[in-house]
Amino acid sequence: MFAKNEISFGRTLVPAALALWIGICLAGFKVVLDYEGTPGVAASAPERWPAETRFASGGGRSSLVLFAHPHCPCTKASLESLAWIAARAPRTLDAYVAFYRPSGAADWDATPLIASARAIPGVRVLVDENGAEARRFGAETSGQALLYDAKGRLLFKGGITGARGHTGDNVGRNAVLALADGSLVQAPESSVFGCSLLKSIPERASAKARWGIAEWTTAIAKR
Amino acid sequence: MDHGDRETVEARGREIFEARFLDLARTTDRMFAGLMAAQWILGIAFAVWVSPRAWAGMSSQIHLHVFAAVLLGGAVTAVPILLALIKPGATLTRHAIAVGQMMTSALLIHLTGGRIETHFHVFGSLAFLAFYRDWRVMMTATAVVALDHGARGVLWPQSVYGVSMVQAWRFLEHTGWVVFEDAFLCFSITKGIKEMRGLALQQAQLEEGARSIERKVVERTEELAETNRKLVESERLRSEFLANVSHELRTPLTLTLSPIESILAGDCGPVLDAQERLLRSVHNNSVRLLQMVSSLLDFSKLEAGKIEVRREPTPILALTRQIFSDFQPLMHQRGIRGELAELPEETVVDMDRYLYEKILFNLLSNAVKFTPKEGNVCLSMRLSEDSLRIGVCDTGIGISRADMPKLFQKFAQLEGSSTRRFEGTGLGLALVREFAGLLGGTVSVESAPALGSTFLVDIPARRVQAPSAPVRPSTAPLQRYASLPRQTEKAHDSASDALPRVLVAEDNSELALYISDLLGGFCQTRIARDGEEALELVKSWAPILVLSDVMMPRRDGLSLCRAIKADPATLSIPVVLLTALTYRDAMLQGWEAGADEYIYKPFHPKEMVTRIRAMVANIQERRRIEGALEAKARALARSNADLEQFAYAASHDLQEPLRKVTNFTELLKERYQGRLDADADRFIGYAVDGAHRMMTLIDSLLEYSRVGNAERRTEPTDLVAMLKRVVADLELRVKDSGARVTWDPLPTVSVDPLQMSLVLQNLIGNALKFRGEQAPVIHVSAERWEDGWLLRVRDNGIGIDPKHASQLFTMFRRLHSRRAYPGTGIGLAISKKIIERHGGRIWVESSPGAGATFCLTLPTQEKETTHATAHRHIIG
Repeated sequence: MFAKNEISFGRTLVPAALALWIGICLAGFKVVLDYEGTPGVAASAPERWPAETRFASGGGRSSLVLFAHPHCPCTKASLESLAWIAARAPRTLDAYVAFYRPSGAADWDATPLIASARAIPGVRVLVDENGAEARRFGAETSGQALLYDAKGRLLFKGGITGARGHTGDNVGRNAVLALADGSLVQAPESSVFGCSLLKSIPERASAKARWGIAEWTTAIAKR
Repeated sequence: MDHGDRETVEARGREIFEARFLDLARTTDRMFAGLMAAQWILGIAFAVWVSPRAWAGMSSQIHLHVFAAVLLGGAVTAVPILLALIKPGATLTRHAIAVGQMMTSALLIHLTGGRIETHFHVFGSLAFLAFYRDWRVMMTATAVVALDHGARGVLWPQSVYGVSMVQAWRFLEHTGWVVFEDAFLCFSITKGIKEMRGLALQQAQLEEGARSIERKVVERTEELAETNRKLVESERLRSEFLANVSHELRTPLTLTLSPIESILAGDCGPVLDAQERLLRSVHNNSVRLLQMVSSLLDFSKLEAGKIEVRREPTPILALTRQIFSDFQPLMHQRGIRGELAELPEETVVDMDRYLYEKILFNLLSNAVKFTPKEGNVCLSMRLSEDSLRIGVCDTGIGISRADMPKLFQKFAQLEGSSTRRFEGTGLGLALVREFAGLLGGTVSVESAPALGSTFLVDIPARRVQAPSAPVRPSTAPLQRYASLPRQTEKAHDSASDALPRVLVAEDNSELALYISDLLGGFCQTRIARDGEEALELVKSWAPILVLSDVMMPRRDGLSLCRAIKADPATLSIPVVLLTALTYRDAMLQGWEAGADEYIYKPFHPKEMVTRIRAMVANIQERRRIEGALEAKARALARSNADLEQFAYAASHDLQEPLRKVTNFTELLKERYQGRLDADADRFIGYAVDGAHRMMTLIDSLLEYSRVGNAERRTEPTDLVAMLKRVVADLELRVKDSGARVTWDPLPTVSVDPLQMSLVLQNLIGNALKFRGEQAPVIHVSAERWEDGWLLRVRDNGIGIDPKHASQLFTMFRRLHSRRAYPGTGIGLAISKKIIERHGGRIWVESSPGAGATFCLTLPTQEKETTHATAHRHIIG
């Protein structure tokens, strides 16, 4: 329904402008997707359940430990996955969530995220003072999940979300449930998505570093 | 509806549909603009609330979702909103909005962490996009979803499906649900579009219907206008027809009535009783026919609304008496006694005399018609301060109560036993009521069968002081034969040159011959058959009077009258218009055309003869007096010329002997003075003195007669130069008297220089002569005077008594003794004659002892100028 004089405009500038617009939008979406799809540093977890840990283990059931940063908004999706798992394997699984609390941080043990975790039936929430447990289990990223069987053997390590802060069906979540009930023996690889758990970003770090662009670049290069 | 109309309606339907579709698109664009702006803000708010910061250990920074909500959300929203504002309704705009809205859905899903609930935004957006009623928009939106899932399924499957490895068909599953919704929406859209097209078509049909009605209204209006025009034309033709009927009917009626009246009056010898009865029967019926024609014409005029009320000061009693007296012969013939009763004193009232005459005529005619022999008809009139009541009572057959309502109805003939005995149009009383109504009055009647009737008419009539015109003869046709005087004039040879010439212009040859015959007794006549012929005869035959019909071929009577009055050679010939048109407009036209008299058809032959005879007599008397005056003037002029010639000749012839007398007397004095006694010397002195005076006198007389005889030769003359010459000529007397002569700027005028010089010489000479004790001071001035100049010659002399001023310019008139002021007494007479020959005037303004001012006017001739001399000139 363009008038004739609009046709020339439409033939030249309008497609260009539209292409630019769509290009900008696609670029923006790509940044978001990259951010969401860039995994955190995977844990170097011990193959056997550490004896010195505060988490109780055994009793003929598997133990699932989730390390979380109490302020990380992405971890909300991990907690939702945990709730999904806990709801489906209440008898075969002991689930723990360890919220990191730096020493001297007063308000780190009463965040909405901790409240959400406490609200999950069958899940025990612990405060990981100064990240001692995280270090013990080698966890570096909020949302890091570790599954040990009743004999203390490591069955699964990874994330239980498909992307950063992304809820819904994903490999990690399904694998934990299957491993817990014994229907799966070999754990698949699953990246962990979330905020860095213990390591702070230096104040004067470059923007690339601050935004984790280096990590994205590395991850994309790996792919 | 034919094929062409159907195509027009369908085209209009498409036009309406497109307009509505555009309107809908614009509205939806605006709604989406608002929605997308709100989504952007909500997205930002959500990002700030849910994921304000990203953490790393103890450090944090703003979460990327916040930036994404602001920047990416802004980018996604900006272009659709911009297009909705600058290009509302454009196809591109809604497709851009579809793309933007689906991208917003994607962004919101990301911001909410891929929640299933947020995916409903996609389906809600599709439903909202269906508002456009454009399935292509749905396809665009669906394509965005499909491309998003397809591309991400290939590039980042985990971000959509949560797994790294995904089958290719998965994106079809997601897209399929969107297509599922699209199917229903597109079905709804197609149906909605169909309904919209149907409604548009209906509206187009309604519009076409309205236009069709409008066209019909216009056509009908044009038809009505055409009908109206035809009606106007018809009305004009009717008026013209009525005028022609009036003329055509009255002319033969005149030819019927007038000869019969002449025969009945005994103009053609004695009439036997049996013959008289038959003739009277013919006459009576002709008169009735005439009355009917007149009534019908009046009625037609009334119906056409062409009768206007024109009140004028009218001596009401004289008019009433005259109308009543017109009926008396008829009443006498029928053996009815007529009586005028309760008449007031003569009063001038503001009245339309035409309508008044018609009212009274119809009432009297009615009364006479229905009153049997030996009955009475009585007319009474009562005048109050501002109204007039006329009563006409009779002892006729009366009117029954049952007939009363029909009495004033048009064409109503009362069905009494004697009705058919009384002829008529049935319009007379209807006209009375209508005319009374036009005058603001009413008519009432009281009647009883066999006893008679009384009609009362009340009309507003304001008394006025203005002088009224003399009562003109009634315009109503009346029977008058009973009072016909016998015609005594015998037919003369109309070719006789001794008789005055009267031109009769009449296209009806019978009537023309009849009139010619009537007038033949005292004048010679010639007949013109039309106006042009009449005009030629007026010029070639020189009649003293023209009697002309109004309606004639080639040139009508009014035009003839105007032509005669426009020509100075024929201006004085009186024109009498002879017409059947009695209504006022025709009369006024006649007067305005310059007619001297009006005679109406049918005319009484005697009346015409008497009026024409009187006019002819007046013209002859006037011409006789004019002729005598002209002869006297001619004789006087001849006498004057002779006298002047005589004076000139006498002066000239006397000069020679007188010169001898003077010469010899002077010789006698020279040679014999002192030789004779003292008495002889004194006598010789007297003789010499007398001879000198005689010479001067004769010179002056000669001069005077020369002024009259000489041909005046005018030329532009500078009065200042002339005055200087005159003063130079009088230099000796000026010096002797110690006079001072001054003048203002004087004009150059076109005069005979010799004669004008003589005038100035006389006036200044007089001023020097009639000086007082002081030295003379003479001043000449000029000023504009009407269309010429006024010259003043003012002095400070002895002055003149105003009572003698008129005698001053008479020849030989002296106001002082010759001894005191010598002179011939002719100078001022000569001056007067010269000035008058120049078309001017001379007079004196003076009083004794206060000097005199002689004033003379000179009409301006061409090329005269005024010397605007800056300084006052003085000589003396």
